[in-house]
Amino acid sequence: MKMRQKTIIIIVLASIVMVSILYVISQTILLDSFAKLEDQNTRQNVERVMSALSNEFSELNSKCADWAEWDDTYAYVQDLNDDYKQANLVDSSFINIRINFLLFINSTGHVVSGMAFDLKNMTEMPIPQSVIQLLSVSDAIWRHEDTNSSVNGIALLPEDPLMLASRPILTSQREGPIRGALIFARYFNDDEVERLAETVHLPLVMYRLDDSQLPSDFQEASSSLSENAPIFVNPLNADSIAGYALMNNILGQPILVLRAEMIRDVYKQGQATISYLVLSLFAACAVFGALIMLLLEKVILIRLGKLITNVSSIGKREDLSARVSVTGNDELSILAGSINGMLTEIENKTVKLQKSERFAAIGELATMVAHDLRNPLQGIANAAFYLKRKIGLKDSKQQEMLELIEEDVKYSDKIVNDLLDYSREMQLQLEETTPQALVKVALSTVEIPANISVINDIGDKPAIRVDMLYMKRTFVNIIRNAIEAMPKGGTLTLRSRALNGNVEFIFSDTGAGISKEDLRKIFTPLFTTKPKGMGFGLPICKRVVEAHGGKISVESAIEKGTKVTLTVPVEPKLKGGESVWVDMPKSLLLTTTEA
Amino acid sequence: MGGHAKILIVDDDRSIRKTLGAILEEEGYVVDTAENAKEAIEKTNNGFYNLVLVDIRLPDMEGTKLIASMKDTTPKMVKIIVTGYPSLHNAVEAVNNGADAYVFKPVDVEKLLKTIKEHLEKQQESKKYSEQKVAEFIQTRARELTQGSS
Repeated sequence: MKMRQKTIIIIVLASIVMVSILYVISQTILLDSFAKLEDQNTRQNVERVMSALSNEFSELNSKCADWAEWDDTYAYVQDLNDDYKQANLVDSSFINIRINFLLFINSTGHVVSGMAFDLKNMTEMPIPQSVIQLLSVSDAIWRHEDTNSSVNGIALLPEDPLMLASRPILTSQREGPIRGALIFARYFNDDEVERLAETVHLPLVMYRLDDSQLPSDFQEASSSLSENAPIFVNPLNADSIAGYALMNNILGQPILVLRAEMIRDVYKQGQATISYLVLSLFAACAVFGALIMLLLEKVILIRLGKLITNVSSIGKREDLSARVSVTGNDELSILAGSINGMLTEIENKTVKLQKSERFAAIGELATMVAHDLRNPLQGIANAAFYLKRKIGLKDSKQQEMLELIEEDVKYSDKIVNDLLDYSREMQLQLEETTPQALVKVALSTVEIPANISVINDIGDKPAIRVDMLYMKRTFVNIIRNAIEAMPKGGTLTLRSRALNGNVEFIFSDTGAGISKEDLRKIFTPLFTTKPKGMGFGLPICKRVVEAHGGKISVESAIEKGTKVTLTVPVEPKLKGGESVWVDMPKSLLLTTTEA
Repeated sequence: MGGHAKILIVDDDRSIRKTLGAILEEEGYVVDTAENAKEAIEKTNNGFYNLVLVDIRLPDMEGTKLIASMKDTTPKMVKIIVTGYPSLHNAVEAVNNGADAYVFKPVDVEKLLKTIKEHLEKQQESKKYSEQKVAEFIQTRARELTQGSS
């Protein structure tokens, strides 16, 4: 899978997990607190309903007290005078006080006077038998033991519940003896519940507990409600919640359940809040993810892609000088930089390898040619020798030509030897000598032109062990090069000194010097600036010195001269240097004859 | 000059056989040639040569091995190894195998002629010496016999 896809998947998964966790947390914490708030709110509303109802009772009670503690009533209950009746037991009294019943009861419990009024139809009606029966069954309603006694509450009639207030009948000075009880009563029917609902601005429903068709939620509420838990809260559905309260009769027995219904706006608000929260979380995650992708894309992926394309195209091409582009200053740039470093290394190594392979091939070929040239050279030399003998001294011109042939054969032989020396493994035959002796032998084989003066400042110490033949050839080679560099004359200075277990030989001339470009190649085989020469001189010198475990270096300045420095160990480390420079072709080795 | 000494040149290179042969003939030697070791062995078995010049590399055998095999059959023949591959190892092997001399290619003809001449003279001397010894022995023995019989 590509990095881009991976990143997208990771971001999307992380977002989903994050939102899910937050959703669950907010659901539990927020909704729980919202539910608690809703419960509390519902209870408060139910309490409000109950307090409104209690106000109704207080009002009924106080009206009843007004009438009961009045000298006229006090008199009326005893004499039932018409004046009182006509003045007070009239429709307007019922309508003003909003009661259905007004009952005067004497101290023995008999209704001495009373009137019933239909508030709905605004007409007088007969006192129902149920009311009379209620009074005969529950003497607590009318039996007042002292002047402060007061009874109010609900009583259940077969047709409807009844709200009633009962007060002892006293004088206007609230003095007895108590002449009975005055009862104000009102049907607590649906109209009354509706009126209450309007007061509290809540839909209210009331049921009697003895109702055979009690709805299930009322049943549940009634079983949960008790004196200790006067209010019960229960959500009806997603939109509404209900609070229930029990109402007792005058004797303290539960008879009614009132339900106040409310819209679940708190809870809904909570849910909406959570939805908004989750939605905004999703949006935030999307924006966040998009930003991360954008950043990743811009800062990493595009550049990484470019780098990959770059590297793979470089891999396909054969251009060793190709490099990847480096931008910025971060890890990717460092990576690009290291890739470039690697490419540079590969380029250098490849160029070096190609070069050495070329040299090896040339060397191999040259060695083969050199070997095969030996026999024809021998033939030419022999033939020239024969002719020279035959012709004798008779013809000097012919003699000269033959000598030229012999000279060129010798020179060709030298080239062959150089080639073979260069390619052959070098086996040193060490002898003890001194720097002075070594240089003396070398100088004796070189013809120094008259216009060149030699300053020989070579010491005779320390004693060194070298292969005399090879070392002599090396010195001769260097001295010859110096002389050739000074065709118009000059000075060749030879110096030596002991240095940390080595002897340093310095050959300096005052010749033409070597250009910087040539200086880099002088130890490369087959490189030469001379018209006649194969370019094996200095490479062989280098081989010889390195075979002794030493070093050779050349410094030069155009028109000023060249300085060659040889550092040779007093006791050579025979393993020094490269032992085989060119592998000899097997066919040229003498060990087999089977071929 | 060479007193008609017989020389065998063993070399696989035709021009060397020819040119060297011409030079040696010019010096008064009787020259024979062989292209390879097989031919050289046949020739030395069938005829007498005072000296043999063997190239160290032959198509069928190494020159040093060839002279080793000639050592038993023709011990008195002077054996010279010619090599284009100068090395201590080659030289030691050549001498151990019974070579009398060892010259490098390309051969300095003057030097070669000198070497040949020296070795042939040495051979001649030892031959003379042994002939003299034989003569002396015969004389002594004859004297002893005449004395013994008398």
